[in-house]
Amino acid sequence: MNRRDRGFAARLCVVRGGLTSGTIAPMMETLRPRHPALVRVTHWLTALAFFALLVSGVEILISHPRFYWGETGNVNTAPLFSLPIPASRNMVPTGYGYVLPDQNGWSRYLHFEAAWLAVLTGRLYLAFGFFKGHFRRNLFPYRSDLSPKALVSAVADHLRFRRPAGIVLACGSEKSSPQ
Amino acid sequence: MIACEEGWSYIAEWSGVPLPYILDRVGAHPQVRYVVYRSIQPDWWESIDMADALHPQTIVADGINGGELSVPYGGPLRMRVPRQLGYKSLKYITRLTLTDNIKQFGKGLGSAEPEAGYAWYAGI
Repeated sequence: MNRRDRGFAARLCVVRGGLTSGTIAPMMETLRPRHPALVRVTHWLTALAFFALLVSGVEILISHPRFYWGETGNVNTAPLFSLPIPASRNMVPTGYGYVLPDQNGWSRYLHFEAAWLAVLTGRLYLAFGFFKGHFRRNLFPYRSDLSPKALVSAVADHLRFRRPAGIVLACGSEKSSPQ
Repeated sequence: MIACEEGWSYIAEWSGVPLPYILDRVGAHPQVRYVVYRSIQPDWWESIDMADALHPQTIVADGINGGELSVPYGGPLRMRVPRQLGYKSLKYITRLTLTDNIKQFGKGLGSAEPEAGYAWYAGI
């Protein structure tokens, strides 16, 4: 944590937590930059759901890699566009001389289950974000974050994969008291 | 409309005998819970519950677009279950079986499709 981070942290805590900057500095040394547990859990559940949707979605897609526009569409109608990939069904005219193995059965199940996981996880995250102040406290930019200088330094930090100090999360919660 | 789980579809005008009419004529018992139907292709069989079997749009089709149902489209007889995906609309129907216990057929999963990983109920 460098000087600028520390100053930023103290400023935020004064504004948000109602603490004085004098009591905050020693506390910050012990804080680790971590997101709340619910954010971390929902993040990885979403990552899991996304990966499952991606794999099963590709499997479903290759059973008929043609895209239609309109009420109906099939091999006897012109597609809006089609992907230049082989298909898992022999009735699709792909131009390839072979057919991929059919994985549509389990893929369809997994796709719908993963979609439920994504939706329910997303709702949980949104509820937490709104009602527990996660969005307001941690995501909504403060006026000082929107100055050109702050924006440039935020972009530079992200490009360097440098983590921000975890102070914003910590002093917003009541987990550790400075007393 | 036939809508296939693969992602294609087509619209046609189907004609035939409504399945509820057939069930009424043969005097189906009130205990009947499923209608099992088989294709002349031995690996293909399907079943639907009474909500679909008694639906007026569920027909045993022998005609399409004003003409006879040709073999490529499932003729001479094809089950049409328009409220479900295309694989429930089995081609080349040879036999209907009315039952109150679907578990005694095949592997007990209701039709051939679930044995290959597909859903028995394929509502759209």
